[in-house]
Amino acid sequence: MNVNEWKNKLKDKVENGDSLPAPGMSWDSLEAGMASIERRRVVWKWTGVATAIAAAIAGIALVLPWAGPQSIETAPGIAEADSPKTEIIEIVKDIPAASNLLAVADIRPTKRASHTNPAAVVAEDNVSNDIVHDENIDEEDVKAEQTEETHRTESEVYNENALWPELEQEESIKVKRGRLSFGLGSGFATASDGDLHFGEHSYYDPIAGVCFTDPSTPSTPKRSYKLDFPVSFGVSAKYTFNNGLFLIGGISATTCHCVIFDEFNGGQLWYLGPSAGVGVNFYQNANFSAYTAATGQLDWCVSHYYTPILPSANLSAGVQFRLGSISWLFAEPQLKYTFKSENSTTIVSFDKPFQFSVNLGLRFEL
Amino acid sequence: MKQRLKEAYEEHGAQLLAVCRRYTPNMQTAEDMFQDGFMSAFKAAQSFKGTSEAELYTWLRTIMVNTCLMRIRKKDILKDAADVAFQAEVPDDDVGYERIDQQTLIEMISTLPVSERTVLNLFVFEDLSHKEIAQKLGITEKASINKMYRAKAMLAEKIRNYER
Repeated sequence: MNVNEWKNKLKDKVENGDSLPAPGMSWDSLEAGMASIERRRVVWKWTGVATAIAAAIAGIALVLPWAGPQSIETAPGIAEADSPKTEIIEIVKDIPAASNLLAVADIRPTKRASHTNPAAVVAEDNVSNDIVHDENIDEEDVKAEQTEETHRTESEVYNENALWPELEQEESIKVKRGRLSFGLGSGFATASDGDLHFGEHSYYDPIAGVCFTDPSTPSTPKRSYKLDFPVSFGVSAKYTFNNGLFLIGGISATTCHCVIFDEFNGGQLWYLGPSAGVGVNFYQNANFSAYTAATGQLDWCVSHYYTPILPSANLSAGVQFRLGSISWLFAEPQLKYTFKSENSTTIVSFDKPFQFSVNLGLRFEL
Repeated sequence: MKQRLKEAYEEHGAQLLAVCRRYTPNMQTAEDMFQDGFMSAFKAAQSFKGTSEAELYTWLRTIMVNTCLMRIRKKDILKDAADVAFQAEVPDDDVGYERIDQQTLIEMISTLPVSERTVLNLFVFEDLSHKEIAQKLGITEKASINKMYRAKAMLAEKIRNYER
């Protein structure tokens, strides 16, 4: 008995009999399930949209209160003149009882600044001169007090510095570079659809959207596909150097529903991929930073293990906002380009190699 | 389209359920696969461009097979499909398929080991070549051939035992 003979016999017996049991469930229950699928699809879609909008609003709300002059990149003299120290002097100046004391004390910040920055000395001297002028304090009294001040010892000056510990601390908080941080986030990418062109002597797997094809054959047959919104979840580590450059690496899992039209149904795809790259913070202050990064990524379809590894290049521009002492919220639009591999495999990612996504998440600074 | 699916369900429900039944020894799992298959059909309904009942049946049948394969892949059962040499004796005579009733034969196929059962189903009932099966399941062509022959031998053994 040759292969075809026994194959046909078996096939004929199994498929053409009439003793098959009817399905246990009714059509009504199937229909109810279909309605719930439709509802779930709508809910997921709008949940994603609402999450993205909420995150964007939260980001804007977080950055607005901090839109003050907090840049650490400003000129040293200006930074000193705008420092909280000067602000305190301005406040105290308005209290009459304290004004005289301040007129004496105005030397203290001036002296502190004198060995740091000449511009700051000028700025603070102006403040003290204004005070003296406004309050009509006798010039000789001021001179006497200043003379007395010049006799103060170095240790006394040192102790004065201890009067401003909170200011020293605040200044140190401003510089948050040279740090390691860990990120936890998710990304929402664009949906796509199009046509896959297959060679005549090709085999394609509709579930994975993969086609094993002979590139030399004419690409006449084609199938339409639809790739639902891919969603990613990932963890990353980022190390920022003192000059604002940073290294970033991580791993992400991406899932999406792929439908190949015309003949087949679809399937849920899961990709897992490590990524690594470099970037730079082009703006940064204590509570906000804006950056751009270029990363490379390798995606492997773990739900269909025979699919090829997909290398891609990502370009992202992101912003992050401080939420707490170590936590940041980041939002990161990203453009991804998937490279076509050299083997004879076609995949939906090659049809539309560019993909836009928005990543949202939290970073925790060590 | 929903109406057409309903008609197909009433007309071919039993045959489509039998397709799922061949891929799993558990009737409840087969019914789950059947239901999932119809859900997938509903999701992809807009993509179906056929007009005849036969085309609709073929489309639904393909969906059922893919749904069953997805379940099998999820469990990663075939991942250990090693390229082992076939040891069992391959029956070369009539093993008596026609003497067994349809239900029993389907049950026998469904109780074969998962990788043998899957290869047999794809080779016999879906008319795929061993090369296509190998690509679909992520195994080698040689492993597919071996598994098909082993499945054939096991099925013959089951029939012999049943007839005793």
